[in-house]
Amino acid sequence: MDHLGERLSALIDGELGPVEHESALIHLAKCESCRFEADMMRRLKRRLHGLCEPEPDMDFMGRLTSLSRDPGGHSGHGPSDPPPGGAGFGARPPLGSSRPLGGFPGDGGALSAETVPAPDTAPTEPAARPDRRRIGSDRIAHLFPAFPAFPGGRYAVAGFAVATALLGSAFVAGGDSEEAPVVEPPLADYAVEHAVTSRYIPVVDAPPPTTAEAPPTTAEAPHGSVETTR
Amino acid sequence: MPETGPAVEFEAWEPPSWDEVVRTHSPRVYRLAYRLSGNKHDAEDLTQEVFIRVFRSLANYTPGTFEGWLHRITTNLFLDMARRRARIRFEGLADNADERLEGREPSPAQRYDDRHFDADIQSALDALPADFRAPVVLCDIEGLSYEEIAATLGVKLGTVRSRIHRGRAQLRRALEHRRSLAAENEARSGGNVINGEAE
Repeated sequence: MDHLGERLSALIDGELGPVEHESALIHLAKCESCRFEADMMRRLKRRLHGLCEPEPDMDFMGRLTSLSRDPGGHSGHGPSDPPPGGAGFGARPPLGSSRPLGGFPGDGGALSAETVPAPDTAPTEPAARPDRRRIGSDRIAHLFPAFPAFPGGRYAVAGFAVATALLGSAFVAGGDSEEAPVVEPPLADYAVEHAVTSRYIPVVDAPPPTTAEAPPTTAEAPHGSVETTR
Repeated sequence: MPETGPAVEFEAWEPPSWDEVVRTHSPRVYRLAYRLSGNKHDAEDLTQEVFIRVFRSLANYTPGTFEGWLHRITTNLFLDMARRRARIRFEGLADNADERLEGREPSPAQRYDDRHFDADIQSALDALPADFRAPVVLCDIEGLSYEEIAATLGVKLGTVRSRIHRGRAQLRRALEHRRSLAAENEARSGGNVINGEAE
């Protein structure tokens, strides 16, 4: 006949189902060696259970209590948890670098010096201004042809764009332009959103129509392509 | 009236202070850590590691689930430690095993003081591989059910049962071995008690 084996431990621990429990007891009644094993095991369990309980030292308790003042200070094991988000600061593309409302000027068109007042009214910008900043204002600017009927609104948005460009360049003024400042307040996006919600600008999906008053300019086209590759 | 009940309760419950958390849970964590690791030094290290984690996640403290979580992290930290050591021991065993194995333990005298009464059973536990020791300790000392142990260790119920069974069988053999050693020692009417433990 089969001895209880593993079931013996489970029996001692009260972990057998009712049917198994019953049959194990029946087996025990007949089998002396299993009875002996069960007895030894019970004794061992009692002994383990009866071990005196070690108490932590008072001064160790004090150390634990002081963890709240110095959390992880003396852990010494492993690095501390990485900051939330995983990626380092600025590792992601800046907020404003998404596809602008109204779409890209597919052929770099829809922009012209005449319809884009922003660069003209911001002559103080440094010449070495990063492209990204310029795009910020261009993005607003190329929306203009879509609503030529609201010149007032256009200038309001243009004002936002200038402010954006200036703030944007203020960010780089101290650093070494291209790489350093990745955080860029998406003021341009805010401005566009504001314009849209206040109904200055109709939301358009397709690229703005290339109108006669907005011929493509060679100066602006490379910026458009820089933007799309980002 | 029924609406005010939960609201009152909600206001009455406050997250415990850190001191309270330490006072309430550290003896239990320490005891488990001690039984798993077998010595005061490692028990303190383990307990401290556990509480560093507790501190980090204190915001998630909910009274009911906390104990189980403590068991889990204590046991898992212990198993990590044991595995790390097993690796080190394996790598360095060839050179000067004796010296190092001795160095990792507290002195025999200290051990004797630490566990004057249950030295035998503790050293038998220590001799058990960590993967068997943990379920036995959780079952017999902490009184957890197989299901709780399975959840704590992240293994199947059947695995818990077989590890407990095999762990106990090994413990018994170790204890019998010690007993016969002790008997021999006495027969030789030599040595002190401590030598018997140091093997």
